Amino acid sequence: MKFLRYFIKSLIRNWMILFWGIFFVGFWLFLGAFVWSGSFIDSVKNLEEIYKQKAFLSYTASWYSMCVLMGFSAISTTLAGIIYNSTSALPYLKRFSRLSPEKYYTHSLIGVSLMTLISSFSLLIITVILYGYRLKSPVYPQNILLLSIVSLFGGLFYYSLAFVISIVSIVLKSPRIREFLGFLPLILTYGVGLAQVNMSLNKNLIYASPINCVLSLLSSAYYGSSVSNEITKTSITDPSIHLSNLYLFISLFLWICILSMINIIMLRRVEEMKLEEGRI
Amino acid sequence: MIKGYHIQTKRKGICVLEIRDLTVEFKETKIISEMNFELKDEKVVLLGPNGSGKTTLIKTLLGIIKPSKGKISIFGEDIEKIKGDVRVSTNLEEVYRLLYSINVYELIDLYTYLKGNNIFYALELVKEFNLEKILRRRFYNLSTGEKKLIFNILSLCPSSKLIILDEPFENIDPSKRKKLSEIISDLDSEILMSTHELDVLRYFKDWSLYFMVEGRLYGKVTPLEQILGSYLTVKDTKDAILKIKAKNKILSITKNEGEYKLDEFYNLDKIYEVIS
Repeated sequence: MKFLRYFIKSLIRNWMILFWGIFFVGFWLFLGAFVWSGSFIDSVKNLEEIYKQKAFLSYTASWYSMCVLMGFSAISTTLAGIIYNSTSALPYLKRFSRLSPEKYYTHSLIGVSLMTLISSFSLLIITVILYGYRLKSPVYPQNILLLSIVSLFGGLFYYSLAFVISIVSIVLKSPRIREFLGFLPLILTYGVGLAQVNMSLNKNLIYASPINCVLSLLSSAYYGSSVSNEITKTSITDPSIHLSNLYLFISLFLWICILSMINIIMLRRVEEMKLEEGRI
Repeated sequence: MIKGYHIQTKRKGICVLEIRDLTVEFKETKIISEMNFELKDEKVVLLGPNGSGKTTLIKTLLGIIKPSKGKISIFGEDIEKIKGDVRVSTNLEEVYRLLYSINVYELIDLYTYLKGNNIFYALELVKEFNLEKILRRRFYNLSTGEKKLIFNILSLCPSSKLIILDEPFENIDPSKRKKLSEIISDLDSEILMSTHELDVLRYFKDWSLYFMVEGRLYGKVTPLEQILGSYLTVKDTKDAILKIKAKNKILSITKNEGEYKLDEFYNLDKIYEVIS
């Protein structure tokens, strides 16, 4: 348990994670609330109160979910670097200490999930305050339990992804490729995440993409019911054609399992890679 | 001086470390060439200039680098099969890179736990080296010498029966070198210690010594006291204690006379200057 305790401590104290995972994303939330909300507020001002309330919630949910995802991806990018450096200790620790690769992986997975939970709750507080003030209406999340579960699962997914990237970087033995691959969670999240915010994506594509699964589930937890394939239009689309939370969860769970299996297998083989200057 | 923590569990005659035909290559270059070595009831200094392959050898012994060829056994077990054996410790930096933003106390607490030790012994050593003031500092903020001392302290733990030290005196200030050498000398464990510094040898007169040059081992010289005050000659001489091959030349280490007095070399990197 000491490893888990210190792993969590090291994450909480990491300014890169705190800045890019919470403060920077908090700035995006501010932009969504005060800079880009003008046309949205104008478009809903003549709606009946009940529909207006739904539109406010949908708007806030889409901004919150996208920003949380951006935070997770920033944490994941920082983690990829940390994992890359720490893996050189693992072949030794596996042989000559009480820490096994499985224990290292599962404990760090738990640690990162707790960190993403902290990140998503910090952003939740910022969102409720900023959007509630701007929209002059309470915009509380409708399903806190689901939000917490999705945050934990999001953390599991992004950590598994960061781990795969680190292991691939070690296999490829190129520091330059590592630098590029390290940004992959960020690039993918901005790409596919913003696509779902602004476009009507194919449903199957969303089910297949773990990043879109996290985005849709977070938005759904905030909004209180299933969301549309274009999450900003959830409140004005027919609920019968909305995404299924069950399918989204199954897809995300399968992705985490597949990535974790790859990671544990590869982690056992890290020491079998020959001498290379990039890591050693 | 802290004494009495190391419990004598050595069984006489057991080969603690055995290396057979070990070769480590990087791309086309051989870093270590067909090396054979045994460590049995003794403490050994591995002396070699920078770039001779000492650290690569240590990394290979610890499983961090996979050898291209050969076999390594520790306490009679193939290194490939070893799991959770806390009897082996090291001061190698890579091993302590597990977490980033933790302070010195936390690093000591974590690693003594992972190695099955009581933190008390490590903290006593911290006190001995007057390092209490750095305990709450982030590890990455320490100087190179302070880091090295902490790695040394963590490697000198009571559960260790085989201690593998990589340049333990590098960047350590002179006042602490003597204290460190006394602590290392007093340990009951088997020790393999690499260094390129000749001035520290006087603290380990009764140890055995191997030279390592261009990935090959030469020796052993036991006790290493024989080397102190000896001479180096760039040619093959009959009365040499030891002959070393470097850059296609034969270097002879002789007792009474020779071209260069070894004691006048601060470190073994000077060998390359002498050859050229």
